[in-house]
Amino acid sequence: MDDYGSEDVMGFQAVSRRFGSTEILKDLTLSISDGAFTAILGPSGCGKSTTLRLMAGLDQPTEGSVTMFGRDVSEKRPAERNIAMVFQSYALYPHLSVAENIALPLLMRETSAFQRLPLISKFSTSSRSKRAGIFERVKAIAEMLDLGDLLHRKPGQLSGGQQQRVAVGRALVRDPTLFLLDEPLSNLDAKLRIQMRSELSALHRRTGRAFVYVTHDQTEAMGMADRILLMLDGRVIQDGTPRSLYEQPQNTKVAGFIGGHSMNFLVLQRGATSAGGLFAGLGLSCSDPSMEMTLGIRPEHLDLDPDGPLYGKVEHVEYLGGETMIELLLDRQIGLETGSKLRALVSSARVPFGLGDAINLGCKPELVHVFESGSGERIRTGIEKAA
Amino acid sequence: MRQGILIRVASTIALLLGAALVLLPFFWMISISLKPPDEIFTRHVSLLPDRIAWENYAIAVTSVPLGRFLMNGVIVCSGILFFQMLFSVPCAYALAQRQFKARVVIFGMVLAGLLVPFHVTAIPIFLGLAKLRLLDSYTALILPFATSVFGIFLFRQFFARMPKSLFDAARVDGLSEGAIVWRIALPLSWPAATAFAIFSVTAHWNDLFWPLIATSDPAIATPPRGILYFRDEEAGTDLGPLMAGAMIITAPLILLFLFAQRTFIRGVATGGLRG
Ligand SMILES: Nc1ncnc2c1ncn2[C@@H]1O[C@H](COP(=O)(O)OP(=O)(O)O)[C@@H](O)[C@H]1O
Ligand SMILES: [Mg+2]
Repeated sequence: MDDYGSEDVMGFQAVSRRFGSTEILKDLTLSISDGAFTAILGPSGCGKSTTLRLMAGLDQPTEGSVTMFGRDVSEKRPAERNIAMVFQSYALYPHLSVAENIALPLLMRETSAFQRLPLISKFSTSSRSKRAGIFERVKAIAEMLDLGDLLHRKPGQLSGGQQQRVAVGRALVRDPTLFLLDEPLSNLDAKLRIQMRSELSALHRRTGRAFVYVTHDQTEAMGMADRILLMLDGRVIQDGTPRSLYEQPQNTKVAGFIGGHSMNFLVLQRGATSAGGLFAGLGLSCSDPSMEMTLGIRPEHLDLDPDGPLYGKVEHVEYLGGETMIELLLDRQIGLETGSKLRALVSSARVPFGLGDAINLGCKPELVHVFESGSGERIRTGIEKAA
Repeated sequence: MRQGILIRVASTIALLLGAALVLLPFFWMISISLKPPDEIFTRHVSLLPDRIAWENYAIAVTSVPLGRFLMNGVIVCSGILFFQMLFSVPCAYALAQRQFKARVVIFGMVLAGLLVPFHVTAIPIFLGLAKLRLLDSYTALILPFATSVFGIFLFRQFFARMPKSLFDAARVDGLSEGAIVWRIALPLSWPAATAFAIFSVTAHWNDLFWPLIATSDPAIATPPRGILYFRDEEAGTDLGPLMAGAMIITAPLILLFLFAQRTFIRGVATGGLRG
């Protein structure tokens, strides 16, 4: 597997979490490498936030253990784990100014309860000098995040993007070992989201700390992360680099989820592997002809080719600018179920045809994914792909 | 258009009548407090005195230790409010934002507690305080009200509407549950706190029932209890100074309400934090 660094900041060992009788996380084992940007990607409701709360120590697993640097931290409160968290709703304290919001974690960590008492905090000199030191650091962080002029505002007086920065500042100020971000950009408008994406990536590079970034948006995960944990129904169904998720999906669920345009799946009938069939036409051969298989081909990997093995009538054309999505009703041929459809993304410059025209499409053999029809698992052995 | 104006005129008149009905006893009190004795018991009813008798106020202040009564009122009410806040705010926070087994049962008990009038529990409490030899003390006036199910209920409703992530953020920032209560939850619910303070202070400032049962020493009499000494000393006839005394003891409450009016109405009406 890929090398993400030597030590794991955070690990789950066979963690499950039940609320009442519903099991939200099922036997989850994972590790977060130090210094890496890890995305937890999955549709909403799959248990991403629950996972993050377990990492933070805001919630306890029903079974299994949570470790940091190999040591069990189940008994440790969030502050003791030295993690920072950015919430989807930002969760800023509405009654405190920007400066006080950012300063609160430091104040709690570095002053005693006695020094924080209302009167003592004003008049004790030790408390005052500590506060001055904290405020200096808060100011530095605020400058870095372009919040320098807003230190005395209340969160209610800030725009969404500024609130987001304050939330990041509050996470940053205590120099945590692990940053947890729960869909931090989902409340921003599209333009700001793209800008904040690159700012967060820059922040990760600058701090060199481990980031765990929860999102349901695959473009965010693919674009920012070193590594993606793809979650579905309380399980991690694939764990790898964005590239490996795209190029080597382990099953049809991953294959269907990852990618800008959803993958075409062609269910093959028995005997599809024989000579003259579609299977052979695509340049594939198989050592076990009894296997039931499903082919997966991404629309962007199909191309117009007069000799291509996939042919049929154009049913629908969608012009997308530089590219055009065409939907094809495939003609009968050996191994293919009748009524199979195929979506293909081709360069708009190459579309001289219209509805009802017959065309041929081709695909490089190495870009065809082969899955077992029953389980949906990727078939790794016994498939030969012509060069 | 015309119909709209008619409806507005009618509803304004109805509201004015309602307000007059509510305010009449109050004006009556002011009026009597300013009337000389011979004008109070006359056959014809007049709201305005012919001659303004300021001396009623002088008699009220000098014939009984009114200053002392007001002081007692302040001590008792602030003592009660202090303990009610001290106990009901954390309790409400636990009921609203923490998960524990008996949560539903305890909240049910709080709701049930709202239905039990104090008069039902007054006798057992009186007997208990008597056994402890605590009657006739500030303790006797404060202790029975140190917790308030109404306060718990009011704050719980307020806290339950606050977003959970706010408290999670505070936990991540290193605040203990206690610190969350006093540094986050309470400051965010000051409309509720103001409303509660006004309810609590008015109820206990005006309370006559319990001071009458639990105390007999004039030195610790609260204002309404103290007012009764007019009757004792003057055989119940001296209405002018009595009303003047009543004016003096209600004035602080009215001032308090006027100062906190806006927050109070916000606390009662919305009970809400901006989303
Ligand atoms: N405290 C809770 N009690 C009961 N069910 C919960 C609780 N927290 C989350 N869930 C359920 O767990 C599932 C996963 O939630 P969550 O982790 O928030 O998903 P995601 O963040 O991936 O959208 C949801 O169906 C949700 O209803
Ligand atoms: Mg979520």
